[in-house]
Amino acid sequence: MRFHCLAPLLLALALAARLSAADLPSGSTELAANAALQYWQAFSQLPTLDKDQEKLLGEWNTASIDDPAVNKLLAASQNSLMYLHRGAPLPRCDWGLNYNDGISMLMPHLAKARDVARLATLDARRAFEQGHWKAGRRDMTSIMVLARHTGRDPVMIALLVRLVMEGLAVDCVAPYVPDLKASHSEAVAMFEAMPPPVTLPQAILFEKKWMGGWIVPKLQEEEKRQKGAGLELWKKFLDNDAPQSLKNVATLDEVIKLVEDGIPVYDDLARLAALPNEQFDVQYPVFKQKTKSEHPLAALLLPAIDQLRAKEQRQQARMAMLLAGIAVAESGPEKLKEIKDPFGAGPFEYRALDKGFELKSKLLYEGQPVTLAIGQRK
Amino acid sequence: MNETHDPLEAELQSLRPHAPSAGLKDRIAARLKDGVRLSLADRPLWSIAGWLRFAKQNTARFAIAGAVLAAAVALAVILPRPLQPTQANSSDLTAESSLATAFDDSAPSVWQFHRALSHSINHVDDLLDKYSGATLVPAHEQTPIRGFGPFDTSLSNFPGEL
Repeated sequence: MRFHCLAPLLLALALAARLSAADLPSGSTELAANAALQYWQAFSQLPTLDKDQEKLLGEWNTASIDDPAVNKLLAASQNSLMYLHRGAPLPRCDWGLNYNDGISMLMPHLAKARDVARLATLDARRAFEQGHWKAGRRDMTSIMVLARHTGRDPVMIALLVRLVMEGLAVDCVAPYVPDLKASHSEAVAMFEAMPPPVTLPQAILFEKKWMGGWIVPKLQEEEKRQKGAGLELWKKFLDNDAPQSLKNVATLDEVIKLVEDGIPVYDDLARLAALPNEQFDVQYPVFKQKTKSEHPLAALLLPAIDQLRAKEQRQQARMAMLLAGIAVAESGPEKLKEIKDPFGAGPFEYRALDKGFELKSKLLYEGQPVTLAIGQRK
Repeated sequence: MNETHDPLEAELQSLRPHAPSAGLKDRIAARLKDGVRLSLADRPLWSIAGWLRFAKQNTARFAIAGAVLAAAVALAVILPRPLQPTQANSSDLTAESSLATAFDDSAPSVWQFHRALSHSINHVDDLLDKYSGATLVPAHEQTPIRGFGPFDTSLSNFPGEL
C-alpha cells in the first residue's frame, strides 16, 4: 500500500490520540495549590473516635506515650496528618466561603481543623518524647500554619479558633524547647514567614459589612417574599436572653431603624480594639455601658470584644515568650535583655525552675500575669 | 558564480540534451491514445459519469478512506471524555443558603457560633466538639478510597462520608 493511502489513517489516529491526551485532566493545575484542598482531604481521613479516644485526644498533653491506645490512634491518623503536611507549605488557602450567606454562612472546617491540630499535637509530643525532633518540629510548623490558614477569614469565631490552635502548638513545644536545639533566629524567621494573622479590628469591620450589613437587606427580602416574614425572621434572632426592648419591637420599620442605628457601633468597637491597653481599659467599660442602653441590638450581635481581645493578647504574649525561650535555651538568660516583652517596657522576667525555667510577661490575663514554663515535661 | 572561468563550468554549459528517440515518442503517443489519468483539476468530477469513472478507477482507495473515516468516528464516540463542568440549573439544586441553616442548632453557621460565644467565650473547645463529629460514621463503615487500588464493582460499602 502506498504511503498516500496510509496517510489519512495515520492522520486520523494521530488526531484521535491528540484529542484524548488534551482532554485528560492534568495532574497538577494552579487550583491544586490551594492548601484548603489538602486540608479537606486531611479532614476526610480523620479517624472516627470512640469515647475513649476522644478523651485521649483531649488529654494529649498528659496521656502516656507508651499507651498502646495512643499508638493505635496515631496509626489511624497518618493519612490525615500526611495531608496536613501537604497543605501547610502551600502559600494560598481559600476555604471557599460565601460571605454573601451572612449569618447563615457555614464554617464546618473550623472544628475539623481543630481536630487535625489536636492529632498533630499528640503526634508531635510522641515524636519529641522519642527524640524524633525533626518530625516533631514538622508537626508543630504544620499546626501553626494550619492555625493561620484556619483564621484567614476575618470572622471572629475563626480568629478564636486560630488562637486555640496556636495555643496548642505553644503548649506542645514549650516543654521540649531545651532539647530542641533550635536556632532563635531561624525560629523567628519561620514565625514571621507564616501567613499574617487577622486582627480583631479587621474581624470587627468585616462583620460590620457581611453580618451587620447583611441583616437589613435580608429582612426586606423576606418581607417582599411574604408579608410579615421580615418580622418573623427578626424574632428568630432573639433568644431568651435578648433585652426586652428588642422583643417589644412591633414593626419591621422599627427593626430596620434599630439595626441601622447600631451599625456604627462596629466602627467604634474596631477603633477601641486597636487602642493600647491602658486606654482600652479606661474607655471600653464606659462604651460598653453606654452601648448597652442606647443600642441593645449591638449587644446581641457582638460577642464580648474585651474577652476576645484579652485572649488574642495572651496568645501573642505566649508566642513571644516561646520564641524568647528558644533564645534562652540557645544562648542563656542574658539573651533576654535583647528581647522586649511586647506588653511591657523591658524584657520578660526570668525564673529558673527545677527543670527548665519560666518567663513572665507584664500582660495580665484575668488579673494574673501571663507566664510560660519552658522545659517542664509532664 | 565565480568570476574566474572554471573548466568544469564551461563543460557543463556545453552539454545539450539529446532529442527523444522515436521509440519513446511512440510509447507516449500510445499512452495518450489510451487515456492517461488527468490531473485533479482537469478531471470531470462535476459529472456523474466522471465520478463513476473516477470511483471505478480508485475503488481500493475509497474503501480505505471509508474505513479510516468510520474508525475516526468510532474512536471519537468510544474514547472516554472527562467530565465537563455544566451550568448549574437553578431548578436542580439550591445554591442559595437557607435562613433555616442559620438558626439550626446542629449546623456550624456563623450565627450559631456567635450565639454560643456571646454566652461564653471560654468554651470554644466544647463548641467545636459539638460540630466536629456530627457527620462522621463509625470507623468500621469507612472505606479507604485509593486511586489505584482494586476496583470494587459493587461499591456496596461506600458511605460517601466526609
